[in-house]
Amino acid sequence: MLTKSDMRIIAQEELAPSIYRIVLYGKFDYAQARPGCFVMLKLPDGTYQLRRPLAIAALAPLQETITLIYRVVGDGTHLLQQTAVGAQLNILGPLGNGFPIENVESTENVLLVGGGTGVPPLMLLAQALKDKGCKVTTAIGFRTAALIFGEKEFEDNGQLLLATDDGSKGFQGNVGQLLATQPEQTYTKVYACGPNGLLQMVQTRFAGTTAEIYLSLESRMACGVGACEGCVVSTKDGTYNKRVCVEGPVFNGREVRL
Amino acid sequence: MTAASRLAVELPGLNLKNPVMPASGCFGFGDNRYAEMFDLNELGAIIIKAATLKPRAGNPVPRIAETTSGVLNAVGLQNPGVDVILREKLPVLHQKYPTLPVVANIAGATQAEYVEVAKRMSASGMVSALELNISCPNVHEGGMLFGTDPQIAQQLTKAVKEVSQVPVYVKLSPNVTDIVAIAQAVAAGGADGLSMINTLLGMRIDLNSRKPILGNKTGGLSGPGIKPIAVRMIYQVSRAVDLPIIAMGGIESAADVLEMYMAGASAVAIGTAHFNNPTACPDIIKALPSKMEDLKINSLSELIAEVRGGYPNDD
Ligand SMILES: Cc1cc2nc3c(=O)[nH]c(=O)nc-3n(C[C@H](O)[C@H](O)[C@H](O)COP(=O)(O)OP(=O)(O)OC[C@H]3O[C@@H](n4cnc5c(N)ncnc54)[C@H](O)[C@@H]3O)c2cc1C
Ligand SMILES: Cc1cc2nc3c(=O)[nH]c(=O)nc-3n(C[C@H](O)[C@H](O)[C@H](O)COP(=O)(O)O)c2cc1C
Ligand code: FES
Repeated sequence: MLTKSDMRIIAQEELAPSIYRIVLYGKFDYAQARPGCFVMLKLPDGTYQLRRPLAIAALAPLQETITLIYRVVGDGTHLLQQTAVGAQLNILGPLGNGFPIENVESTENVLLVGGGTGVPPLMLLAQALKDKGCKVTTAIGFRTAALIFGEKEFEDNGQLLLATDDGSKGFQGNVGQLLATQPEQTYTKVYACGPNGLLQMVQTRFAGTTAEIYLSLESRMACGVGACEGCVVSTKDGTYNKRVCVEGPVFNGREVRL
Repeated sequence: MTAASRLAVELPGLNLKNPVMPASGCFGFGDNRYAEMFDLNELGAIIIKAATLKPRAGNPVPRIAETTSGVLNAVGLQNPGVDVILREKLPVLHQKYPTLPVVANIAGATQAEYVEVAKRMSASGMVSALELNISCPNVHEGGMLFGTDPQIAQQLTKAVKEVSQVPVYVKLSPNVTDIVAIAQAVAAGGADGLSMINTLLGMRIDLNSRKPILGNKTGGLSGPGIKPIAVRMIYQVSRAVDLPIIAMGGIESAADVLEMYMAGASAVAIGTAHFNNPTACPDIIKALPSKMEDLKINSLSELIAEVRGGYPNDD
């Protein structure tokens, strides 16, 4: 069920420069939350009129916690970073469709592709796919080694391919160039989240394959629940746009127009 | 007096158990996930997203930008068109909430379009009133143009009134120098009520790209930042025009609702407040009786009579 509830900050730590991990404790519909879902977080200052969308990076139903990982990019995320452990934050969620994983078989070979703040939802996804028994390969890119996070989580759940723009760790270049160096593989499913350039690369690279492609999109949102038509994206099948918050954020990569 | 009757208000076409309704564009056609969080039957009424004759794809993204104490939006009246709304959206809403009054917001690029949408919508038997949107700042043809020229506004109101089978509320634009002149014009055109205010035209620029944030460049400003403008305009108009007013613009609380009444409102609509608080409407409805008690207000209808009945003597 969709709920808004006050959750307590029980941990907040810096993972890399300007990247923070925040753990929230409290009431949440853990059963409904799936990899790729997000929450709308109300900022603890009434002058802000909009909640901020953040992907769920980890879920611990028994401990009743959710984990979010965010980059400080503006006033809202700056305020979030300044908010002390022990404070309450109002969380609306779980929202969005999430990555489709119901029909994934244990024998499947799947690829996860991410960059920057597109990485957090892939952490939860990698774990869920590994739990299903799949062979998981994750290719993620960062600007430089100091900004890398999530390395251990992805290594625990499969193979990790790392790229940095400056070559300070892993492959030098972007994720697309990294993938181009890999031996041809037959992936049954490719899941990606990150900047539009990265998603377009995934679309093009796997267009000629039989892989199912799922892309998680970002959009500026007001309501997060399908009420305002603020967050739309267009698809190849028609003029009437789809809402990222309800029909997404995950879209079939062969249908969505970036 | 029972808590229920203290909140009841009566406006043309709208017999409301309470005066609170979601504003157009902030609650879709009731077909969104806010409906999972409370029973829409608690609402006084619902104002649905603008309907146009043909489907509209709306403006390019980004469509949303935040400002201090406000939100800029440039959705651009995206909607599936009046026929789809009548075939697919309203029947579902009507079936789920048979007693919930529906106000249909209608828009167009030409007078003929408005008239056609009004005709179809009002004949459907599923709407209690029309809200004539002559004030959308986010479309390039029609929209706000109809709301800034008194003569055009009057003609349009008259043409829509001639075909509408339900009362017509005209939604006024704050983007004018003299809102009273427009209000008087639509009153002369035969409007049954007014709805005000729509958003104020605004813009934000991204410092990094050095370009406007919104895909449409400009957008409409809503939220608590515009409330004093709404209060002022409702106060001025209610003193000049004898029509009931559905008030909107930054309402977040029961106190804000009562401030609108003291300015001259007869009912209220809530838009932007939903984004922070998805249960803004039911929360306000629940909070109203005790806030009224604090302020020694017996009932909303008495407050309307007191405020608007007092006009001849004040100033
Ligand atoms: C479904 C979804 C999941 C997301 N998950 C994450 C995540 O896990 N980690 C993370 O770091 N970021 C994530 N983002 C992006 C994050 O929402 C923005 O970075 C954040 O809202 C910026 O807020 P701000 O106030 O700091 O920035 P400001 O630039 O001051 O924000 C002003 C306004 O713009 C909006 N905005 C700015 N950038 C974005 C953006 N890229 N996407 C959407 N809205 C934006 C804000 O919500 C706010 O309304 C996600 C976005 C979406 C849509
Ligand atoms: C996202 C969004 C979409 C809107 N769409 C419409 C619309 O379709 N028709 C209309 O008449 N007003 C529309 N409005 C204006 C609102 O109905 C309301 O008049 C205005 O936002 C002021 O109220 P508020 O401050 O409570 O939001 C929209 C406002 C927002 C924020
Ligand atoms: S954010 Fe309002 S419809 Fe998606």
